Amino acid sequence: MKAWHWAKRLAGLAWLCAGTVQAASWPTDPGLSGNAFLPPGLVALQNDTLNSPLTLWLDKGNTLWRETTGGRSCQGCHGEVQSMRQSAPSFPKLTGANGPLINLEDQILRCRARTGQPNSKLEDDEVLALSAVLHHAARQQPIAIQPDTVHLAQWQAHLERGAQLFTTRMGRMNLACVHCHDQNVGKQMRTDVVSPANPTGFPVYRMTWQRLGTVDRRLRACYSGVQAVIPASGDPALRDLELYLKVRANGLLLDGPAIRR
Amino acid sequence: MAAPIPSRLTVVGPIRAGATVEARWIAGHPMETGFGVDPNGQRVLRNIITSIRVTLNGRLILEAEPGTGISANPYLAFSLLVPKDGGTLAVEWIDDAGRRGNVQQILLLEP
Repeated sequence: MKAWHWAKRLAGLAWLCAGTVQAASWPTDPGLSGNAFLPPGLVALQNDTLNSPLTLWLDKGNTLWRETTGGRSCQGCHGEVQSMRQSAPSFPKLTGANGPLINLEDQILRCRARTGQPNSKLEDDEVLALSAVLHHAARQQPIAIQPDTVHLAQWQAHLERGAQLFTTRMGRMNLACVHCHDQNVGKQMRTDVVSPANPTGFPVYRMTWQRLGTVDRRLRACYSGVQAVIPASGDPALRDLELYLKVRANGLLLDGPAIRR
Repeated sequence: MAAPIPSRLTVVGPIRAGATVEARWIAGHPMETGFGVDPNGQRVLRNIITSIRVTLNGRLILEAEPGTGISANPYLAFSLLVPKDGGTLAVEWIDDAGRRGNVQQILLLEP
């Protein structure tokens, strides 16, 4: 009787240990890219440079970069896309005194509006494709967010609002970003693994979206995840948060566009 | 007229007579199931690729009829034997909206 009792306990202990070992198989380093938290199948898909879904957007972006529907093409002003290596790592940026904080996709929208190109919404295929080629050109470049020295107070205010958001509990889950992405990195949450939220791989092809998406959309998905009121696409709060995340990840190498679960 | 469906066809492996290579095809198609709704709450019409035909030197070697269970940007990989004199591998498809597309890859024998 007693032996049986102990056997049960031992079995329970073994099961617990197995569980711990499995959970510990994911890294917990806060300085890692989201790529370190992908299952092997998705890593293989991402490394397939010939036929991963990303290639569809890269093809489209490379074509769009040169093409025009009347106004000047991207190449007309900026030259070869490879010369834009420093562009993606430097966004989000301020647009002058009292101007909004904009990210790379906002800048693409502004360029497209200025040159009279059709379609002007975030998450449009054209915007995503151009963002993808710009990020692809910036692969292996470190995120390099510089404080806006001309409008320093304004820039600082954006950053502080972002940091505030990162640490503020919200939603029915009553969680702040920091609770998962600082304190529980590498743990499994449902089928996903919590990453340190370093925005190096954007725009990302999420399997659940079945298409490419921007940081803006990913952050709104986080609001949805904690069951908070989801801000509209392009909300200034999302840009503040993006600025904070990029400053937090300053120096990490960009490796987008990437594939996520 | 919507934009053409982007697609890629690549052949991986040594292209030598009699060798087995892997062909991979992907297309940028939304594969609307017909069960989704747009932001205004309107039902989106079903639009999936209904037929994929793969030919090698004009001879049909593979035919697939994807259903609504296949997700967006469908991907197809298959092995094939490289013919004695190489040839042309072609994939063509048609979707519910009647849009057709095809992509070809010439199997040029390695010296």
